[in-house]
Amino acid sequence: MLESKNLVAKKYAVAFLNLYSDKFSIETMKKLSVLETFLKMNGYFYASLSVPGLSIKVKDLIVDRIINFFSLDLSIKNLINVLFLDGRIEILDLILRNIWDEFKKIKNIESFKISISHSVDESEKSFILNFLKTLTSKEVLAYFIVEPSLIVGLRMEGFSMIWERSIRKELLEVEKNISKKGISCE
Amino acid sequence: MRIKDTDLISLLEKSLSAQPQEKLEEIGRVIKVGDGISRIYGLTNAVYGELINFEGGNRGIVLDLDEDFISVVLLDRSIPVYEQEIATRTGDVLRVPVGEGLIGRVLNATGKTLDSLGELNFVQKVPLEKIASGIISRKPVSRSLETGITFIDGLIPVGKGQRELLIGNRNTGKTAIAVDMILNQKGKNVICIYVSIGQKQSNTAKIIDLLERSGAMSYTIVIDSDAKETAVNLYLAPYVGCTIGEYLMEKGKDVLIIYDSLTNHAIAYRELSLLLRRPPGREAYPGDIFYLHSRLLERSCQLSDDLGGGSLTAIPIIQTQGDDLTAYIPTNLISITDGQIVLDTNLFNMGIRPAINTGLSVSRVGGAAQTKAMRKVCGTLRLELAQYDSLAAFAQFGSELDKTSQRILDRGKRAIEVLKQSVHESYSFVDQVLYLFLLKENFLDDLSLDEIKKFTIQYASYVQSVYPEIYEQILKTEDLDLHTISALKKYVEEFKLIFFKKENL
Repeated sequence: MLESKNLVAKKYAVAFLNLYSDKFSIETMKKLSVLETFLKMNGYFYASLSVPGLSIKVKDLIVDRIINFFSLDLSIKNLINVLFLDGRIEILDLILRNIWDEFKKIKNIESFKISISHSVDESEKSFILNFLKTLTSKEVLAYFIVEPSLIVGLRMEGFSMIWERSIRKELLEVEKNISKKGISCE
Repeated sequence: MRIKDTDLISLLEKSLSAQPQEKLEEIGRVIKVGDGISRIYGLTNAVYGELINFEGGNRGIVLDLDEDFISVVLLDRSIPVYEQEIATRTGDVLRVPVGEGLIGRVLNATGKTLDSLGELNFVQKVPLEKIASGIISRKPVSRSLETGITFIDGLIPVGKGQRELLIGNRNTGKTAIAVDMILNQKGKNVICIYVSIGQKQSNTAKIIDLLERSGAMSYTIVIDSDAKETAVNLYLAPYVGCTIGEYLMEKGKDVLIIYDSLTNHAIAYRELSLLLRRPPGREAYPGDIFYLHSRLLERSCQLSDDLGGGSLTAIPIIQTQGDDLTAYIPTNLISITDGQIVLDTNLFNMGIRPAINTGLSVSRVGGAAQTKAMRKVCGTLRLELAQYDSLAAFAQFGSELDKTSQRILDRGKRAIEVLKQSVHESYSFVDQVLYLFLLKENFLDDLSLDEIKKFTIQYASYVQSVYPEIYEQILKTEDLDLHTISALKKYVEEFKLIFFKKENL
């Protein structure tokens, strides 16, 4: 069920970006991401838009309030209207996530979670980001966290790629090699 | 302007140093796990059959590629896989350890040892799936694979490199025949592989024990994927056995492989396919069930002399329900293989062992895989048995039969007595020729049915001990010339005097 919903959401997202991708930047996309989180946390938004007794005018006001609050482009209102007419307003958060994913594909952007065994200063961060940009040949969006379980090292985890050099990984490899005796990949 | 070589080289070095040496690993995330199947979002470049590593230590094989996700069957149920766990590509496929060091060992479907004989001594690891040898690298099946079972060697000969199906209801002696085939290969320079698929652990343990006690483990490899294993292990087991056998065949060895049974293999694959949400077809099997078995059995062949002349003989076993040979899997296997040995419940219950149905059993290789001696003594035996089968039904009503019919019935009964053989009792090629010689030359007509078995065995023993030169000659030439035939006839007369004298005492 969720898979078919996601498939439909993806189609809406692609169609939306076909029309409005020029109007969006990374910053505005981040706002969409915030809205997605808001919608996930506050399910009553969908409920209020689905109440049959509520007039169209009130529903319009709710949508406008949301758009103003998150400083979104008016194209989002068009999307909400289409979903409202199609009776699919409950997949709005899924569509927003797909819009962000598709936008990253179009603009060649990759988000990374960078885990480091110890805290690093800004110059080291920028060095790591440059290294990542060279490695991926993509625009990189990253956030840093300290993860002592790495023991010593660095782990850069994106949506579809990973890079890790840490003592923890080395130890896990040793463990795997010890237990692996049958079929293996060479 | 002239360009210096050193400038060009330094420019190239500069460009190369700008290239990152490190590479990012491609990853996907687990979105669903259940029933040994994991769905992974991402890994868009993964290929069918690729080995996937999970961060938690588990491994799996890609069996389905969808628009948004891939489906991976997990190899190890004991290592948990969690939602959102990272899965990475290996860029490689499943590999199986191969080599002569595997002989005498018991392995599971992932190539790990199940015995306590220490580490596996293998030469290399080769991919599990391989395209079968082409026609140019093959030659016709022409060498006989002696099974030690007179019925099979005489009427349904199996050649080296042939694929002969063993089919029958449950408890009709399919596994017993297969194990007898292995036991009979002792000293014949044939390596045997027994693949147990979905069998009870106790049964497999019994077989391994029998092979050890008979000294057959010195030339046998056992691949065990018993009933408690996951569907993926049952699915992999025959391919593991085949890959090991194929490697040995390519090294010029003669290999006999038993798949016991492919019914369980098909059921395991059906389970996997249904879990992967592939559309079910006839009997709920997936559309590629034929390809599943054809690509396995097609790897059995007789290689040409240029490639070492090795062979891989396959004996797949299939269990039928209520003698129904027209079910989906039996018909598939019948069409893939080069003949079938059909075991009959009624014959089994009548005490005829091996309970082989003469009319339905066939070997498409036929006489090409028989020695000249065997061909000479088996000449009309199949026809006689067919005539007997058709008349036996009438005889049950006790109606009066004409002399010709009575002769056919009498002869058929005697033939069946000669062909009867207990479990794990195998006869040498010369013994079999001598038994069938007695039958063909009508030397058994004046004996009662009870005496026939004893007489034939004692006669062969008599020839071997009193006239070893004739016995050795048949063994060496694998033929019966006129001189040998007349000598054997003379020995029968001699032996009859001794036999009857002894019986009357």
